[in-house]
Amino acid sequence: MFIPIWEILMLGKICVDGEMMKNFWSRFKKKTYLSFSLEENLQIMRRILFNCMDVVYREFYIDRYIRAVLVYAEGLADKALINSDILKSLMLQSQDKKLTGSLVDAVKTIILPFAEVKNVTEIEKIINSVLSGDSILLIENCDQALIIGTRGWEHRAITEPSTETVIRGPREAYVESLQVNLALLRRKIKSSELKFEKLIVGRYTKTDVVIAYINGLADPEIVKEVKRRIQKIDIDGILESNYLEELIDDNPYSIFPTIKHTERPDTTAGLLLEGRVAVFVDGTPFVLSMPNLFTSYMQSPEDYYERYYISSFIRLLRFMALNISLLLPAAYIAVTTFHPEMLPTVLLLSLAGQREGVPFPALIEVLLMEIIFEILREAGVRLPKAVGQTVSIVGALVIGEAAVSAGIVSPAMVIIVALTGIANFVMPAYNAAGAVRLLRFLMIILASVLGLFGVMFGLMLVQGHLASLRTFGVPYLSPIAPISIEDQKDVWIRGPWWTMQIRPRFFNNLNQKRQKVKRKDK
Amino acid sequence: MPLEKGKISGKQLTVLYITTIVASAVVFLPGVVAAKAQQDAWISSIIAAITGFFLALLVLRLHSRFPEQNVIQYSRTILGKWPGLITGAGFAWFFIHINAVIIREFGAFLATVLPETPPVVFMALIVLLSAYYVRNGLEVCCRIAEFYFPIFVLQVVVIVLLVVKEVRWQLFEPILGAGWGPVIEGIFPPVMWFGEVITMSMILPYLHDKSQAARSLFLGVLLAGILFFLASFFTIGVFGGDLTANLNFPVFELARTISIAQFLERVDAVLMSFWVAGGVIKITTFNYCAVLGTAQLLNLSDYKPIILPLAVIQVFMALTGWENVGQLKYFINDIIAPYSLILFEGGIPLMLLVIARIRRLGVTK
Repeated sequence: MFIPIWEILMLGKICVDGEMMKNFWSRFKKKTYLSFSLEENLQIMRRILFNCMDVVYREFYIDRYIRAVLVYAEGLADKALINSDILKSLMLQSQDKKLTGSLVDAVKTIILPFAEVKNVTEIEKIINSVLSGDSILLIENCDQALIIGTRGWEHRAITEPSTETVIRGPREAYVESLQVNLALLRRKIKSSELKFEKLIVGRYTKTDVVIAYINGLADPEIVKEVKRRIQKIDIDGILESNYLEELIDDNPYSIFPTIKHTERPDTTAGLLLEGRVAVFVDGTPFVLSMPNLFTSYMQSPEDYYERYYISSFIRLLRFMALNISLLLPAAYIAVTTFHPEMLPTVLLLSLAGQREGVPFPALIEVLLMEIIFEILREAGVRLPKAVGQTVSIVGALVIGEAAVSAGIVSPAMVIIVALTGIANFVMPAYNAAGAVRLLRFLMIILASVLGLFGVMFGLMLVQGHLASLRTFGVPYLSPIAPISIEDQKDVWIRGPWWTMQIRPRFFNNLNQKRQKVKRKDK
Repeated sequence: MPLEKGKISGKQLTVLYITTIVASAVVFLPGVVAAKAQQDAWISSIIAAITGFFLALLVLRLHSRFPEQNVIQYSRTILGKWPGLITGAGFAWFFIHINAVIIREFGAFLATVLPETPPVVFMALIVLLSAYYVRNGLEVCCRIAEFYFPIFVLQVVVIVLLVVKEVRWQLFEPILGAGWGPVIEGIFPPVMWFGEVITMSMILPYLHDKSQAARSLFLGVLLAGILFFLASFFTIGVFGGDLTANLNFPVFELARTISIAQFLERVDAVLMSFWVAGGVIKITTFNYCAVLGTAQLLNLSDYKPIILPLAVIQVFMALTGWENVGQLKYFINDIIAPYSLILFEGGIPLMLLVIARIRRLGVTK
């Protein structure tokens, strides 16, 4: 093999550039194919699958005299299928069948009663399928093998979503199995336009990643971009969709997530119908969708299932809660220490009275309580379920009540911190709520230095950051800025379904019309 | 390669213009106008808005002749290399200078709310914020303006609605008591504000749909005029001409008179916050024009490196330009109006248009 001298000289650059590195090594790597000798094939497989005790090699004879080996991975392949269908039909029911033509094709077409059977010649493909749960049939004197779809491992049953609960709406959630998840989505959208494109990511994990979109609704540019970014990933393993999320993010340094994840098939279906793209990752119930806008963190699937008055009210409430959880402690500090004249005199006096014995300035008081709250909250998540609730209630009561009576913090501060913490839970998206949780501390510090001006400064800084974000080419703050009056009906409120005549404009939709009949025509 | 790759919509242009004008106009102008025209300030504000239309028309005529160029570029096309460069440099200087005035105004304004903090802190922070916006490009500046625009309009309307019962009609009398003289004199400061439409001549080339230029700009002038009229009308109606003239920030004082249900008293600090937002957007617009213009004059391929140096220069100018608010007010009332109005907002554009017509330059229909 000839390697040009300049490529050897450029070795330093090659080490940096992954794409080129791949090209470089592929020259050395020979693709290995099956040979006619069964012994040799088995040897190669055993060498590659060295010390993999979960791989089983079952030797037997087809029709009493043709030697064959079935290779499968224990636990991944469905043993009942292997026993009753593969082995039984090959060993016992093959005598009376007349085998004509190529043996492999004959076995495939006449003997094996399986939906999914494929011919292969590449060793690498064979190894991958064995490790994914398929069975491989190697036959003597054949340079082809058969992949038989016997994937059947234990997986969790479909349950109710645990992080996105609703009062009204479907109760099913994704599970860890990709096939089940795709089926759940297909059950919602039975159109041939719903496309699933498969990619494999991860050098070791070889995780299946499926890009789902509705052809004709999703912007082809965005689909292409998603695919391009996923294909560019070269990582040892993908264990959860967040790996992918961070690797294909437009704004890796931003505190705000620009890719949404959900464990609800109905949410994914709704997003796809708006022209977005979803990405399924095998092994996790959390499905990504993109491009994702800031406003969609304020939307819960339930908004669309309840009557629009209550949904709109709740959505406005959420925006209020967002402001409370971001600004309330900061505003409290700013008003009490810089602008006390804003408060009514009676309230001011009462606040001053409460603060009388407190030894710390308001900033320290807030930070102390906020951190304690965050610790309690995190402990509540991590503690074993049986003790979790008890400990967090006791912790909250003891710390809240005792801290006040010990005179370390003022009662008003406890109210503020508790309200802030609760308001944070109102946001339906946990990851966006997390960003707000962190930014709250920035606001508190700015407020304690510069009063309301500091709060405003912090707010404008955050808004400037949000306005500068783009996710797959779509401005993150749309449809608020750039404004699209038509789309406001699904931002601050949830407009009735009969007003949602067109899809959101910001995805550059090919097909704008959502419904045909206007309500008044009825 | 173009310096600015962003494109904005007509709506964004309107919003940016209004926020740029109204942010400081509503805060400072009623007092300035009332100092000249007394109780007839509201008449001055109407005439000023009408004059504003003509200034916008001037900018639009130039834009329609040179749709792909901004004022600094077409002054070079019209006047030739060196005179054009000098005129362009004049405009860049004008943007920097006016921005220094605005920065100082807002610094002074904030110092009344938080008297213990040195004003330089506010000025530096506001300019840094605007530099951050400018760094992110024109589209981001416009999105910020869009975000605050509804709040901004709403709060002027809310103030007006809440003080409407305080208006004493006899304060408007006598109408035109001193004749038209003071009224005409009171026009100049607000016209200067409306003349800030010259900043839009830096932004018009980035309009996505060129046919919307006239409509969005005129709509901007109209809405800004209405807001400004409301502000001056109601400050006069509540405080009267004399008092308004002597107040530094009359609309702010107007907000202080508000009391809702004995609970929300003195919401001025909240309003201050919104005005800060408006001020930041205004400063951002000027900062953007200054940065873009300077980069074009210096033939740079990217404007990002000069954002921070210009920000520092502007803060320095704002800090050292005037000893105190009194001097600043005198400067705004008596010096800057003729200087900016006659030279950069009206005079030079008019001259450019006339020369372009005579030399038959640009697109003619």
